[in-house]
Amino acid sequence: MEAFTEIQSGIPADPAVRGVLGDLLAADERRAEQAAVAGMRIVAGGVVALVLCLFLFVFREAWPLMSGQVTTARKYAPVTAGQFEGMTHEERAKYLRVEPARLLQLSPEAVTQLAALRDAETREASSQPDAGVNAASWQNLLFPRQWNGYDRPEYIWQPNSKTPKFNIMPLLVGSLRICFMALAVALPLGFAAALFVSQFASPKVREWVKPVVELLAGCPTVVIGFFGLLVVASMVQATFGLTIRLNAFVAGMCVALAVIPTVFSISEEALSGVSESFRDAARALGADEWQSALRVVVPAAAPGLMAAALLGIGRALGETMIAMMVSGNAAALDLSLFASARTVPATIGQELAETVIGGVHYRVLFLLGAMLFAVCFVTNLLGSWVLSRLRAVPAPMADPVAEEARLAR
Amino acid sequence: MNPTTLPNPPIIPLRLVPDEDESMPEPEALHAPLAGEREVVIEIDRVSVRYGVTRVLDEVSFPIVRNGVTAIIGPSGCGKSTLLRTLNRMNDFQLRASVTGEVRFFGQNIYAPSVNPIRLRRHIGMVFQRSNPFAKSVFENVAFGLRLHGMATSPADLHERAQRALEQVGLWHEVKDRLHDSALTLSGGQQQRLCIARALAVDPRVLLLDEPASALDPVAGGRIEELFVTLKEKFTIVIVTHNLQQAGRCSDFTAFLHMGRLVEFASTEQLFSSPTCQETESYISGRFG
Amino acid sequence: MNPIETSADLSRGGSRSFGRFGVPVLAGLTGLLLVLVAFLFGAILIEGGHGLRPGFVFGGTSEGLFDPHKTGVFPMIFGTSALVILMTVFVVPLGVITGIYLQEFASPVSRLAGATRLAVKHLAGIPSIVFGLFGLGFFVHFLGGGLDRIGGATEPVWGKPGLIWAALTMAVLTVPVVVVSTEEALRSVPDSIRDAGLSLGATRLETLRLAVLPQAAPGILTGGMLAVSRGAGEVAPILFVGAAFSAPLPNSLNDQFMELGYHIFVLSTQSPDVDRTRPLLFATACVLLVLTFALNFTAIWVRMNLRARMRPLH
Repeated sequence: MEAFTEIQSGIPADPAVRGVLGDLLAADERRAEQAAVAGMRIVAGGVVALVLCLFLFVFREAWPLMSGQVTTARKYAPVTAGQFEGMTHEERAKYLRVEPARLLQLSPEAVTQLAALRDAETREASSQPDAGVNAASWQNLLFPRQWNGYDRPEYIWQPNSKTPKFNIMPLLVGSLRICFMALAVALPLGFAAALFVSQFASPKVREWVKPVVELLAGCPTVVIGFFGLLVVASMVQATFGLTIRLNAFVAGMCVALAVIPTVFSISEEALSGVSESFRDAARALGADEWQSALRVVVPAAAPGLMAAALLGIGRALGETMIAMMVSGNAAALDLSLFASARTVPATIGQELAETVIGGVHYRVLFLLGAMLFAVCFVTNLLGSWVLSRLRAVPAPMADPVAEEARLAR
Repeated sequence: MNPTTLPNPPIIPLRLVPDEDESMPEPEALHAPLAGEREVVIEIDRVSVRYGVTRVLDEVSFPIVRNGVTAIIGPSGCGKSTLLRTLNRMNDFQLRASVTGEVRFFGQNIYAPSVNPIRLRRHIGMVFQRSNPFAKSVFENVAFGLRLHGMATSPADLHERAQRALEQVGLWHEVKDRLHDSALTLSGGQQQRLCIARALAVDPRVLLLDEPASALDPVAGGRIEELFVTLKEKFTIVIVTHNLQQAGRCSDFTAFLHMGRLVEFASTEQLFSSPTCQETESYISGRFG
Repeated sequence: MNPIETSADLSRGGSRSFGRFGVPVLAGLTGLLLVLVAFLFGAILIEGGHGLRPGFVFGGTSEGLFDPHKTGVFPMIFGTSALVILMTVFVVPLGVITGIYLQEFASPVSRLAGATRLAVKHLAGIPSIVFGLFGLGFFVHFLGGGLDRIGGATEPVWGKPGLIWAALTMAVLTVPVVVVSTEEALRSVPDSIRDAGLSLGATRLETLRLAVLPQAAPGILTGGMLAVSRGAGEVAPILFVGAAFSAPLPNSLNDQFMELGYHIFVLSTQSPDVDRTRPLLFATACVLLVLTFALNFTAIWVRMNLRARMRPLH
């Protein structure tokens, strides 16, 4: 082998070959590629950062409420002139509830008048019955309370009254009612259509049904809500002779329209993805199409169907516009089918614009947002977990070398 | 041993292979070029490849002779394609593959850290089992490499080089009126020849072909085989095939691989008529495969 | 065993006879679904189509908004278009680069890639109203307020709802659409194409740029169009981040703007006389629907046609 080393140190005479060898030893272009890949990683990292940011900001606004630092309890504490003098500029601005910059522009008389006004306000507010109650405590957020003027404990969401009440149970129940009704319609229709399209329909029918459902998926929910408000609500009212036109039932039906495409597409993918060999095996045993579909394909696709249902739930719970337009928006705890309802997202949508930034109402709405976020996060995780754990075991590999090579690719 | 200095400019660092040989030449070094000896372009020197813990190739060594067709044969799974891919470092992209040994291209070990594998692949081209033309026009396919490496001095030069490449594979007359049609409208055999033309357009020294005719019907496959005869005048060809008749028909040298080992390497005529190893004989006579 | 006995075994339990009902029931339910969808679209398109005069579509100011004869939807179309164009400028580069990274360059064990995939998946599942909260809390108050503080403004200039914040909020919402479409489009290009490029002496970037991306372009384009469709249709995120019921045409990035979906929402829920404004309502909804349809149709058409042309014959 030493001879080879010697030979390699010689200079090739053939210029063409010399050129080739020179080219081989040319500088690496991979440097530029590495820079580009680094840039891509930064962008991808940006996406991750964005999601973390989202989580952070929503929870940040809700945190003071969640940790019990916020209270609506009002106790009358008069501020004397001396105390007022002793305050810093910012504290005074805060007491008078004006921007510090604006405070500078006010004349002393205006400041005195404003202080008197605030004093009167506070006195009045704290003289309200229930003024000492912290409506924003976890106790009052979740459990019923017998407020002044009521003869028994109630779950009340009434953020815009003199004594604001923030019990979120009516909202949670409203969301669940509409979600339940929506899924009661969407799951059967979605599954049935998916089963039909993937197992029994002719290719021509499949060509038509899938695009139609995709179109439905692309339909803006505000349009569905509009449709519900103007068309469906009237129809339902006429059919059932209801007094309340906008109610949970109508909302449920419309939300179902929005949820069906999700349920359909995921189930259809799961059912179509079941290996032909399963169906062949069933047919070879003498089963007809229906039996092989029901007994073989559906169980094999079960993880996908479960994931479809979970994602449908997430979608139904998060639906905002339809609920805002059609559900009647009465935030009362009522389990009946045809009563009005208010969902969590609809509440946020309706009321956030009217809140004071940083105020209790504001924070409660962010708390609701955080809860929505958490619920959808969990449903998403559950859906993925179901899909990964319950998937059928892959066929044993025939050629370990090819398998290694395949894995390596 | 010192290299013999010759009155003519010394021939570059190549090991010389006698034309008529007695089975496997020893991996000896240099001796003076005898009349009728041929140059070695690629020296495969104790190459082993592992994927993870599985050993796919085991100390394979044999030469690739210039302007000849070398066939690599063997039963499926014996590592033929892997070996081919070590020759142009295409298995760099397999994360778990590790290569030991040397592959010397004109004396330069292509696995040396100083070697630019991207440039290497221009000089050692590859054609795959299933034709893989780009979803572009016929012309754009052939011109791809030319444009990439800036090999044309003008649009006219580009066109001329593309035409030459297409002529070399006998495709020019069939496509000259369809140069701007999508390459995917060609037949399977035409697409494969287009892929060969595309590889040839960048003037490689060596062309590696991985079972190029196996996905084609016999007629189209036969046309590809005919190509080798003309192409080997300009290029060095290495072809992997599981078709023994094809190997026997169109190659000058044959390497027989089994379970990752080189069993035998010899001129085709010798390997097929009087193989040295029992294994070779069994494989060729169809007793296993 | 006698084959006839075997198949009789299978049909025990009566599912064979039930099967006679099973398929028609499924077909019926599918048909019901189709009918519902047809009803939804038909009602809006037909009743709304009556009101679609050129003056309606291209005219209109921000006055007289409840009067069906005086108003038009042009300001809303303008606002929606501005929103969507701005959103696209942000989301397409972000989404496409992320998709390329995930599909082409990330190693299977990379933690960044895993985290990114997870982030995209969760982003897709977040309800749209939460994006509205994020838009308000982060973009309007944090970034906008921050900008104001740095600029020393006394009145909120950036720290109030505006076009730019609405566009950014929508961009965040549609990131998953673009990323997933890009990934799918790249996956549809077979590895053999990459092999071909690499074996000709191209770097991975060059192969991507010159061979893979051109072939994946239809799919990526589809993704962009689907994102635009979402952006035009979603209302919840922009409820408090920029949309207004009555505003002049926005001529700077921090202006509020009128938007089709938002307008339909407000019209429907706050119209003083629903019967009188009914034709107006339907016409506006019809415009939005037609717009979304056009986008979705085009996206699907692009994906089907251009991809079919690129599929090899064998």
